[in-house]
Amino acid sequence: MSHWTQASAADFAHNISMDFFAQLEKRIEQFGISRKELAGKMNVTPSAVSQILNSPPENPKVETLVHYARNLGLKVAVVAYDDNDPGNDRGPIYSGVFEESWKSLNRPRDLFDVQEACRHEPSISQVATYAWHRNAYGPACTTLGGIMLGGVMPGVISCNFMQSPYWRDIETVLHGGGSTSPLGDTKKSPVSQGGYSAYLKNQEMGKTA
Amino acid sequence: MSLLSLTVELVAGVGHTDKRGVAILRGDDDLNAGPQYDKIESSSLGKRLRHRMGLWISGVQDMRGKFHRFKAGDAKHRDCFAFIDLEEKVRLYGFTCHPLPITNQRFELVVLTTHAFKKENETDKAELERVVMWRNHMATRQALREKFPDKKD
Repeated sequence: MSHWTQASAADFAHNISMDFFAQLEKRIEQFGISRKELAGKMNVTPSAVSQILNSPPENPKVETLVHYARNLGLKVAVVAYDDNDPGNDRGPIYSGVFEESWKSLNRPRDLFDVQEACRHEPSISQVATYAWHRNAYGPACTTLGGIMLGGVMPGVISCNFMQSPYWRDIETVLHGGGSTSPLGDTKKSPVSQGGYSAYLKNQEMGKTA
Repeated sequence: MSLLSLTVELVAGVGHTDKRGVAILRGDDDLNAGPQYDKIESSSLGKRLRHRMGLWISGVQDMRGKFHRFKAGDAKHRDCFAFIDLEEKVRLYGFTCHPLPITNQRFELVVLTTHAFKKENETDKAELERVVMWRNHMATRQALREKFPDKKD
């Protein structure tokens, strides 16, 4: 059974429109913008704003989308993508997924930023190895290894790990763990000095502890 | 043994995943969400509601005026859920459940039961009571078990 948007290009377009206005509603709610305020900026009545948000137009002009977005301080991108679903059985991917993915990569401005963000993203096996090595320097890290492999990693693997709050938490636990470790200060261990970046560099150079 | 025989039918074409799905409970005159949905399915309203179901399936949490749980209420109604269309003042009520506790504990399903035209924003407790009644009904549990057999091979 195909997704309902497969029936026609018009249905697919309608879905895009509804996705778009759902994102605007999220923005309006987040920033507490009143419909009256937005209507004032757009030179339309508040009820016209309510109507377009409650029942988005089936085939709005791109210019209309831009007009609404700009009045809410937003920009617009039209994205074509291949999700390996040529029959559209699973339906379009919600535009919010693209936005959240972009945010999780620290809002790259260009493809160089994307490359940079991805270059720093460790694989699961790299982090597992890192956790294992760190574990050798203090029992406090035993729990951490479990957290990273069992809980935190699946949630952060798709984002820029080094920039994520999870990473900062883990770094805090790792470096803070030394004070509770009966085996000594983890900050002085060869692996912990310089954190994960240095660890990766050492690995590349064959200097892993 | 309940004499009433109900069925759980997944809403077609909304892109169910292994994490979330939306279904309709059918088989009794009081379960009017199904017949109402059938009437509006091909209309603009039907498309708006399917889009909202798709958003929820995609992982979007409550959206004011579009769909939401009843978290703020008492524990009794915590599993109640509504898809809303403010334009045509339509509400489809149902409940959330995890029909695969053994094989896919994470999978969450909204089971739509009843429908109402409603202008006011205030929660109508009577509608939620109807949902709870159907959620707890033996025939509903049986229908869920039949639709989602939860056994490991």
